[in-house]
Parts: sequence; C-alpha cells; structure tokens
Amino acid sequence: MRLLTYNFLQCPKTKTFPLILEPTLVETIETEYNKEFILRMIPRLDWNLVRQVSRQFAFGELPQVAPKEGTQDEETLRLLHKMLLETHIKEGVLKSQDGTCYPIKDGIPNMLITQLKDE
Amino acid sequence: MNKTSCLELNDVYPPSEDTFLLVDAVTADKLFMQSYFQPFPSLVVEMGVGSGTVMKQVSSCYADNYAILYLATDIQYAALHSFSSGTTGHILEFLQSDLFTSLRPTDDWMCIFNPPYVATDEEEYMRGQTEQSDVATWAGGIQGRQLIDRFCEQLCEATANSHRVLLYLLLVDTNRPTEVLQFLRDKGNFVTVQLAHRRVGWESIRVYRCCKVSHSH
Repeated sequence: MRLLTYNFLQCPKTKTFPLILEPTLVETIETEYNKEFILRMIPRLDWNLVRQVSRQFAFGELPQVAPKEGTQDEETLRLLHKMLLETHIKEGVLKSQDGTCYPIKDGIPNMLITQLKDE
Repeated sequence: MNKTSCLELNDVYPPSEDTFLLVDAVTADKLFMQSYFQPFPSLVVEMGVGSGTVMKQVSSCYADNYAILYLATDIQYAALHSFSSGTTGHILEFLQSDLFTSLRPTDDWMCIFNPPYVATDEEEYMRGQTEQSDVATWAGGIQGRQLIDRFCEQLCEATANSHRVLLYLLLVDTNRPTEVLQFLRDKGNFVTVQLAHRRVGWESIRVYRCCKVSHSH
C-alpha cells in the first residue's frame, strides 16, 4: 500500500477518517517522477493527513496550504512524489479510533470487518 | 452459462464472456469518458477485480494518460495477491474491501463493476460474502441482486455530494436491470445508457454506463 492510498481509506465500521497507520515494514520503490500525476492528486487528498504523514515518516514539514496547478514549488512536488508514490507499507496495521485493527499483509490492506475474528 | 463448473478451478475465477463484453464496452466508450472527465478521472476503482483482466485491459486502453490512480478491490485476498504480483507500469493499488465501506467519499472518479450476478439462495450468497472462497465471484443471492443492491445503495450514498462519477456496470436480465437503473437514477442522480448486449446461453448480459450529472454538464 502506497502512502497515497492511505489517504483514501476510512474505517469500514465507524466511517471515521483518517485511520491511524502503524507500519512494521516499509519499502521504498523507485517510480518515475510524474508531475502531472501529483498535481492531479492533490485536490483529491486530505492535506492535513498528508502533512501528518510527512511528519510521521520523517519527510519534514510541508507547507500549510497545498500546492496548486502552476506552482513553482518543485521541491514540495518531488517530496510528495517520494512520500506518496515511492513509500510502500508492506506490513502493518491501520487502526480505527474505536481500537479496531485492519492488518496490511504483503502490501494489501484487509479492510473486511467479517475477517477480523480469523486474524 | 454454467458458473458452478468453475468451482473446480481453485482460487481465482477465470475470465469469461461477461468479462470480455465489459472490456469491449468500456474501451469502446473511451471518447465519452474523455469528454466527461476532460479528459481523465483521477481515480479508477474496480470492485471485485477477480483475475484482473478488466483492469489490465482498461488501463492499457487509457495508457496515453499516466496521471490515474488505479484501485483494485476484491473481497478475496487470493485474487488481489495473484494479480498484484504480476503488474507494473501504472500506479495500481490493491485493497481487500467490502465494496465502498472502506473508501472515504471523493470526486472525479470512475468505477467498474462486474458483480456476482448469478441467482442463488441466501445461504450461498452469505457463504461467498463471509468465507474466502470463489463463491463470492458469482453467488448473487435472490435474483442475483443482493450484492448489486448493496453496491447501488453505497454508491448513491458515497457520491451524494460528488459532481463527476462514471460507472460501468454489468447486469444480466435475471437481475431485472430496469429496477437497478431506476434506483441509480432516482437515488443517485445518475444518467443511464445501455452500451452493450450479448446473449450467452439462456442469459442476456448487458453493460450500462451510469454517470452523475451536475450543473456543470
């Protein structure tokens, strides 16, 4: 699971967003830089969560306001690319505020409530 | 089409007629899709990705645009895992999920759904929904509609405040498509159009395009 995808996930039971991410295995996989992709994604992202993730994964402090189309801030876009597209959570858990844990196994989050008792 | 014969094949249900009809319909509709999104959605979600055939074909048809996040979801881990180990190129992500329940509402996205549409009893349907078995790929419950109805309810709810959402949905006549489409029009403000039709054995398979209309369109 890329950190990008984490931004789209909510708790299936309580519908709360965001979930708390507790990774145990993180991998960086190089991906071709695509500025258009990053710019297209930004309006779809919850920027507060992006900033929080940036701190959690030691990417540093991001601007308070998300960059927009036509931005000159190439540095932030490159950082977002590295963080959101190249950082993969291979193993870990996504935790809801009510304590429910959703495991990430081999890069695939299991968001099924019915499966939880089997885990 | 006798889907139960596929039970002999383990893990992931292989692509068949319905898959190919859906692929043909979606790829042939590319011009409409481009005019609707001007020119591409930021997110393409396939519910129940199965063998991955639809996702692979559609993403290669849209290959002139790499600014799309593809999200493959399935209730079965086996399907996702076998698909994820053989893909490169596009930004493609995998999610084991019960329909839309774990996705926060967003906008400017496209969805593809080839549901389990075979009419079965309730028990068989529930078995597909709660066990990690390929029953989930075809057992649709009463009229084959149980998961389809849940999908439509969740879609309308999740897109209540969205402006641009495009859905490609496959249904068979046993599902009574007119009722399903009526629901999407009434509850979700979708405009529905039939794109393709094929008779396979005793069943009629149809593909529909359903898109959200907002004042900007």
